[in-house]
Amino acid sequence: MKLTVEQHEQVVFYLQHLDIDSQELFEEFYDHIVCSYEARLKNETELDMKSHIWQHLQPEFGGVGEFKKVIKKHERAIGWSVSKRIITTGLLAFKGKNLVYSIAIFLAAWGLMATAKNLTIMTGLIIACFCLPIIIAITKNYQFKKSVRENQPGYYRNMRNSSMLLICTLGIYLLYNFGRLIYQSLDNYVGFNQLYTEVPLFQATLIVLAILYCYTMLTVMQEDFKTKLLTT
Amino acid sequence: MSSSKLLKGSLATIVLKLLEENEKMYGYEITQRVKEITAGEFKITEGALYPTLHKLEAEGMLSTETQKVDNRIRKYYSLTKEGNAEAQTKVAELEEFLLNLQKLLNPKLGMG
Repeated sequence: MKLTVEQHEQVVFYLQHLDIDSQELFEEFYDHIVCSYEARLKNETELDMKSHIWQHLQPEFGGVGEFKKVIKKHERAIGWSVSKRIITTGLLAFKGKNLVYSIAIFLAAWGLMATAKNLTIMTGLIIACFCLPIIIAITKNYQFKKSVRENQPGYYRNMRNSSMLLICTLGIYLLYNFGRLIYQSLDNYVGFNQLYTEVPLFQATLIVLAILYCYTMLTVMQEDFKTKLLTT
Repeated sequence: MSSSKLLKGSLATIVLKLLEENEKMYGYEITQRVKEITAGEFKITEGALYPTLHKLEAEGMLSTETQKVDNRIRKYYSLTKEGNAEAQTKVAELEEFLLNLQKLLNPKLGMG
């Protein structure tokens, strides 16, 4: 059945009242509420949506507390799912034909650092590899928000998008702290700083790790990042 | 103990089994199918069903697709390759468990 504007607003109000602000749960529960309303209407033709929600649906679900538990568990499940997907995609670089490409990239980076002896190349490459995913994540997130603003579906975020954006931000945070570590050890040409400035093998490893991070994040974002709503 | 408490531990198996028999299902459909098969004896609460579905999806047992139905979005769940294998294992485990439980509760039946 197609809901009237008033019924739609009642469902949206109820979901917002439960603090369901993510696309995934909002759409799933919206459909659930309408399906259960349709089924109940067969026996109670006079039933209105508001009564159905507050008198039947909420008690059957287990009250507001159960909804909150579902929201929390869903957030954890999404976070875990995105992390698992990133790890699986990253590990693909060491499997089959991809391993040959990875070794080739590593050898190329090693050769480059051994001959050029230029730290700017390495620093530039690493910064670019960490910045590119977050720039793309912000752009895609902006497109999603724009789509939400245009359609006003009742939610304002996508949990999977938010998780990926958070991981990209953590990547930048990691890079920042790594940079600080190097900066603090600049006066001391031993240990880590010596590795960083004088050993091409170590430099190549850093470059390859940064490229791997960039490739993984871009692959996952290309497949999983939502930029448009299905209703548009 | 109510049947819903006993059901909780086998909910993932029930979901996997239903999805093994039906190509794809959505949340509300699963609750209704369980009610229908058990003539209303078993009632899966939504508060238990959705976390199970989301967990199985995160574990890679289920894949999802969305479709537009009557101007709203419906999320369908279906088994992945791993989910299919897991469904068979879980059902076999549950059957064995029920058999042993029956032996414990009714030893005469177990001997026969």
